[in-house]
Amino acid sequence: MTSGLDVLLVCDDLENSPDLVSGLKSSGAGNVFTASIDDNVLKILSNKIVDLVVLDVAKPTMNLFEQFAVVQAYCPKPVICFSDDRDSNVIAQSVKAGVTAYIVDGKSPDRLKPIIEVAMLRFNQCQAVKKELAQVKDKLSERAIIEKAKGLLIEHKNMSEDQAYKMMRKLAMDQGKKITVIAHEICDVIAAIA
Amino acid sequence: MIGDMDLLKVLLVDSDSARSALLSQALQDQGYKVIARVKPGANLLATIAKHRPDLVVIDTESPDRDMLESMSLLNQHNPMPVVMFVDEDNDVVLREAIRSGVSGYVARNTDPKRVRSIMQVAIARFREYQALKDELYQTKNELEKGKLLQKAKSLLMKHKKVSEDEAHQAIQKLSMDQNKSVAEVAENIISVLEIGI
Repeated sequence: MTSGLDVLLVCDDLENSPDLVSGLKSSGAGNVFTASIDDNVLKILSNKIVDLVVLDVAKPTMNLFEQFAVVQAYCPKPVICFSDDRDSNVIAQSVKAGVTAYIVDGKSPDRLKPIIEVAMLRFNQCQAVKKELAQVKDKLSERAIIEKAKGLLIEHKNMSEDQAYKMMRKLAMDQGKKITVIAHEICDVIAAIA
Repeated sequence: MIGDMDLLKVLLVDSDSARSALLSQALQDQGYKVIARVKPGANLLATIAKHRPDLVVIDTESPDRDMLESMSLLNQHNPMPVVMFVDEDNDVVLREAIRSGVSGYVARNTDPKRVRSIMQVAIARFREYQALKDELYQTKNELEKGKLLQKAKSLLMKHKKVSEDEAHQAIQKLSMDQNKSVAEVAENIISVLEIGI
């Protein structure tokens, strides 16, 4: 399940990274790219496709988590964070920033494999819920815009509900557009003339 | 100093091993209140319901099918953070455990000093994931409610020859008069009018 993963390793101390790099490789990672905590992670991730991000940072800062909140918004990745910081606020912030696994003092190579597997599974589980939520929200706003357009047609064009809906559907078919696009256009036009 | 009342209550599920005793001690040292130690078994869910802990910690060599099923049911019906300390490192078991909804899965022997951060991460993650699932549930509900309302309105328009506006107002009035939610009123209208056809 975790063989051949491409990993981006971001550390605060690049001189100490070889241990973790070899640990990751013996736990199933394919390529391991390293970067410093001062690099622009978002930029690196937009140029390189990786399966997993590993942070090795003794004291994670707010700044770092803010960067990862942006990463989660634009190109969600499973993120494992190894740290020495047991502060409960830092832990809470890391979870909010989308860190999949936050691990204190647990970097020993024989632990890495199950940690990576748990992180990958959990990330996928979470992404599935997020995806479903986005779809349901889309449907909800589609319904809202169609209802709004129908209401405007009924009010301004003296149509019945049925006529309004049929007209939108016909426009959508004739123009080869989605009915929500037509609904948007109707709302815009009627708002402009009303 | 936090009072006893504020301590998170932990139900520890273990096989009474020496290691479990260490874990129990570590939990108490780290500020958790271990309200009960129980052995894994068929009535685990009933035991959890009886003790009403804030979270469940499981210490096991390897979780068996019964336990994973119990955790999956717990996750569906009475979600709470579950942290599992497991001896062996087995891909299949690991996958099943995550699927059953455990918030923390720790393979192999654990240094007692790490217990606190493991628990905190598991609780934070549980809350985050639960919030996401709640949002999904509520959004689905809203969508469902919108569909019901629309259907009830259409049925009223067809059977009572009223305008959409009148249908909408009728449903709102019923909801206020009967002190029921709009969705409930809509459901009633649908069941009456659909049977009446």
